[in-house]
Amino acid sequence: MSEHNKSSEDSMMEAYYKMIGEAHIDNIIEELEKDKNDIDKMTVPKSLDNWLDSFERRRKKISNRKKWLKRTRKLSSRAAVFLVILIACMTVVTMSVDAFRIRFFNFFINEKENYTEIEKREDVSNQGVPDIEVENFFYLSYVPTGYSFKSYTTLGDSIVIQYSSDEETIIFNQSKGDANYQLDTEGAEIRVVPIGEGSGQLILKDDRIMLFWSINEESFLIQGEASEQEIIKMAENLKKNK
Amino acid sequence: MLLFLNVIEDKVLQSRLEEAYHLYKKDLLYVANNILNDYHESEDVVQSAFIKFADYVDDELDVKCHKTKALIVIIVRSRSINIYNQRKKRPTANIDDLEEVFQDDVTISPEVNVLRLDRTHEMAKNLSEINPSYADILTLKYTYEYSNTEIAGMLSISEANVRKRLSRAKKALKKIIEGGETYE
Repeated sequence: MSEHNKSSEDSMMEAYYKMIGEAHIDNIIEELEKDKNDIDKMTVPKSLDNWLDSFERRRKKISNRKKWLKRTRKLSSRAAVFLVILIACMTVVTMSVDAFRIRFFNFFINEKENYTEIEKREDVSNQGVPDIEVENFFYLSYVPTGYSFKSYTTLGDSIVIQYSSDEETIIFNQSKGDANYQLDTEGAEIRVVPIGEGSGQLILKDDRIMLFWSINEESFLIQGEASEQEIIKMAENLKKNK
Repeated sequence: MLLFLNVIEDKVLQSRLEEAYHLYKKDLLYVANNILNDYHESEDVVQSAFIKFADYVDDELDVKCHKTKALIVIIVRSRSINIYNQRKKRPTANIDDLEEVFQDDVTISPEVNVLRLDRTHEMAKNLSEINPSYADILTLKYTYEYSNTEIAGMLSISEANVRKRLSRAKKALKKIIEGGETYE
């Protein structure tokens, strides 16, 4: 018998078995109909009804648990994807926007500063009290390497101290009470920078830097050709002669 | 909204199973009791049949149609016969027979089929009289189109047993069609 004929015959037989099955279903129903009177007389025990109730409750419980697990799995994966996207977005924003980046890194820097407050800080002083014939004055206990006290000038309540290296000069100006500085800020970049617990105005123009700040009634100005960090460090190491 | 739909779906399935139970519980107890002649065992069989039937309840099931009723009856009847056989301690089918069974040629010539198409009810009845499980297994396989695994689960028998019964049912039907009186 060829493969094709065998296959056709199998299909035909399956169709025939199906018809036999349908006839069998009719026969089952017919037999039950015949016995209908006896069936109606059957007493269904209460225990069977009770069993169905408890079975339905169990089934519902299991079904609910499965659905809950399915929903939880679905939600968890969505939450994970959302978190990854959120973290990625926050990273991109933090790294690409200046304001966020500064705030973000400052957070850690501030934390670090808070931490160092409880440690013994290294003494950065490299300058002694300059030889000035004034009763009360402030001086810079730190100046960049190579600089040293050179000279001073008094102008009323103002004292101007000059620190020099071989090539450059740093001028430190201090004034008591009302002071009037006329600073050349044309085309300069002006920023507010922290100095100790207070703040000052940093003015950057060409190669020169000026830092102006005040403490109580005293106002100070440092100017010269040093880096921003050095200028701020000098200001933070301000000391009084007594 | 999803939760609401789930609740509705649960209610639909629950009501279908309950509806089937209330419609057919007497028929099923009657069928089981006719075989087992024991009320408590019949109750157990009906319970186990409903547990299995619950797996096949979905929102497309028409509880009131004859096909659904016959399906539960077949499950109950088969399980009842299993228990009856266990009670009588009848030997179970030997798996070693399988090889012989698989090699059996149960093909019936097409001409014979055509001649018997108008007598399917009689054929089914004869087959059922030889052994009710033969007609049941053919019906489950070719009318309900369940797989051997599904049938094995429903009737609480092994898959090997399903294959064996199917083969025997076909052989028995062939005998009937060809004019044989009875076959066992």
